[in-house]
Amino acid sequence: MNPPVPNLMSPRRLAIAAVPVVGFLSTPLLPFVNGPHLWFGVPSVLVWTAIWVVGTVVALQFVEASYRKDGGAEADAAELAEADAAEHTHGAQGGHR
Amino acid sequence: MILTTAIVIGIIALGVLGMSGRRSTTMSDWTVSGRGFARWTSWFLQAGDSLTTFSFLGLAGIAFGGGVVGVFALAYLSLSAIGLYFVGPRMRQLGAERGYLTQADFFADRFQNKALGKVTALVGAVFLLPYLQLQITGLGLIVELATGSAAGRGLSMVVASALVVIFVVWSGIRGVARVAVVKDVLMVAALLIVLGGAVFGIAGIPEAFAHIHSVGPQLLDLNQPGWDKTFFLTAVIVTSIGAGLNTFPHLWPPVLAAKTGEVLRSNYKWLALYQLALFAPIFVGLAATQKLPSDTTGNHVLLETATATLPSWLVAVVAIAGASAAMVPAAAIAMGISSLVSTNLVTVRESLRLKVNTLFVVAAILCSLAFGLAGSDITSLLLLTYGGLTQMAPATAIALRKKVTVGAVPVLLGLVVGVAGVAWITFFEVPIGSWDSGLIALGPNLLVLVVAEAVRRRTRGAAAVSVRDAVGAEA
Repeated sequence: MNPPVPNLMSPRRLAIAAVPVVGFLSTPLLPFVNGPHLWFGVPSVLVWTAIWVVGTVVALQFVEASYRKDGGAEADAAELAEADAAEHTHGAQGGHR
Repeated sequence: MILTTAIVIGIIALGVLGMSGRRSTTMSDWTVSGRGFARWTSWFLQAGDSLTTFSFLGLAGIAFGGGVVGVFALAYLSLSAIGLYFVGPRMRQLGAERGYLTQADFFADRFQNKALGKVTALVGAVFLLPYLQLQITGLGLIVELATGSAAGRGLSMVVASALVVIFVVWSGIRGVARVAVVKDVLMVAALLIVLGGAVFGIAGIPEAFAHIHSVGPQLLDLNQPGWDKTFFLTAVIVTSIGAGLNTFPHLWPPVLAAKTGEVLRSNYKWLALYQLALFAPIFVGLAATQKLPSDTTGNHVLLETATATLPSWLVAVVAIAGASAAMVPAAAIAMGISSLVSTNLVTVRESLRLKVNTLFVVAAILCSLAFGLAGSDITSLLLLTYGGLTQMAPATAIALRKKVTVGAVPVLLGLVVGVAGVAWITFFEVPIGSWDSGLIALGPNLLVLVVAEAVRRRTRGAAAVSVRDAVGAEA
């Protein structure tokens, strides 16, 4: 029997993923970002955006870790085994044709 | 002439690469390749679809005229990766269980309504056509700007279109994935080369920004007319909703072809990093304000900077990368259009479906090439593409739920009203300031959907009561 699949869109995981969303959407609203400022010689808007691009990756790593910890790792392994089995069957049928 | 020849040879090499695999023999194999794409194949395919000729030509042009507002592309691409991280695995799972080959299959099955499948297929195919033309025209423009030859433009468009037809027809999604690997590497290399040209040929990074800060500080914030806060917020929100819910039909096969949900999650959780390459065209566009006349056409900025700052052999590399940036999305879009038409719009025997599909691949590319060569302006339709396809977002969100409790008719009515709204705003030039028409049209779309669903539930409730009364009376 396959292990139960945890809810990927749990409130906790959605809250983590919402952090970069807020970060990006706040760009034009923050006076210290949205102005003709240079941070380390680079426009503040560019630096701020780069921070949140990296922030997106970091947030999704946390979401992924949380999902796998809640049983996602087992569900992934079961799904992979199922896909491998289907591929094997498909290949065998193809070989007989 | 040597440059044109080198570029055409590069384009041919890309086409040959796409044909190097085995031939697809069934529609399912052609579209989703046995649903067995492992991590790296899937990654390159999805990364390849995310950067197009817009990233290559358009973004530098926006930065040239609008300054740092070009970062809206990084914002929506990152936010859409978040959306797709959550919904992509669910789409793949439903596709594997129910045998979907297209986005329209998903709608028809989830709402148990073939008409909805047909309407979404029609909307998707019509809106993708100008997007396909954009890629082919963009490819021609890249070659023309790199070589200075108008004849090279037409020749490269014809050669690239023919090769895309051949490799797409031959190996379907596997061919696209193979070319995408080379395209993804070439694209980053080309953007870095152009960046290097701007840094060494115009000004270093801090020097360029210091110069802009002193002579044109308006390019450093999001307060310019037309490129203001409202533009940034509405464009980012609407595009993130549309792309995050995968409303572009040609992006469905890569999702459906992934081997597992984990493969997709792995792609999306890293995909935003690939978008960092887009800082290169933004910097080039900003730096070019010191080099090019202010009336330079936006789409010409990146390649005019390249030709002004790089030796011709590096310009050829950049042009081949630009051509690949057009060919991969063009191949995916042609696949998207043809599979929607042959699977969801025409009735045909299963044994003939792949052959009929081939005809639609050829027709879609020929049509776009003809519009492109004739210089016909169907770009006004392109204005509808993003906003129009985003109107499928409410239906997608509803259909992804465990149980679909909303009727097909309310969803269909909402979709039609939303698309009509975008068309009305665009063609009648309704003054909406810097708001995005797609976001505005989502309002009536949702309103109609909610009202029609309320009516449906009330009618269904009344019908159930009258049936119960009739049964009670008989008893």
